Amino acid sequence: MSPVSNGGITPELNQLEQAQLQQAQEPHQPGLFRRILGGVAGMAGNMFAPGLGGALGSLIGGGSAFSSGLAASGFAANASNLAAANELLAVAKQSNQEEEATELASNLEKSRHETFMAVIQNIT
Amino acid sequence: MLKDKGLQAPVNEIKLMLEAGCVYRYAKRYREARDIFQGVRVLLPTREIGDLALAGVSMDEGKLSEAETHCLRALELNRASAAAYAQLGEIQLRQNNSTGARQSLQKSMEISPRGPTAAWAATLLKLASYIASKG
Repeated sequence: MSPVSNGGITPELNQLEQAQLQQAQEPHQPGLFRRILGGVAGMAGNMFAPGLGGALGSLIGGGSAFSSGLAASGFAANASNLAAANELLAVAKQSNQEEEATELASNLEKSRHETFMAVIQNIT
Repeated sequence: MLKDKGLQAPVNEIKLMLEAGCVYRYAKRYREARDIFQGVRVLLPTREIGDLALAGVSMDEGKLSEAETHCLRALELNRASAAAYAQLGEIQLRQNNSTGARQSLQKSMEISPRGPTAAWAATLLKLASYIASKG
């Protein structure tokens, strides 16, 4: 007597169906290539557009630990870039102020001299 | 030839004296500059140029009260001297009297709205704003 159940389907076949069903229900895990590609894209994105890289890396690579790590390092690099940019901005601002003060002093000396020369030339 | 109270002074020589005085002033040789400008004041007692030049020397030396006195004397001789008002404005700015400086500089610009004196006054007004913004 053969073990027949569920309308003539064998237990081996039933197990195979269950395994397929389980695989279909599991969340999709991205492949290794895609995860690496996501990480690389994230780093490249951070170089050209700070802030975009992390998001791009997560989008391509999925939510794996590897891509999350890369995205985190991208965000850290982004914060470091932002701090450097702020420092650069402060230096540029100070430089602009110094340049403005120098220009003002130069204009002052020039216009004062020209005024004296004009007064001298107006003597008749 | 100049005709100041009967004094006949050659114009070109006086202009040359003034320019030489300016060179001494820029070279920080204030004693020589002062001697020349005092000579010009004797030669041109009714003109403000001598006192104006002396005000500049005193200002460069840091003698601001003396510079102000020279400027006021120059303005007594010529109430319509835009250069004297601008010079007074700069002295007042150095004395931290920004209100007085603004008034003097605006007066200078009213008298002479264009030309080098106006540029000088405008630069000083800008400097006053710059100093005010720095606190």
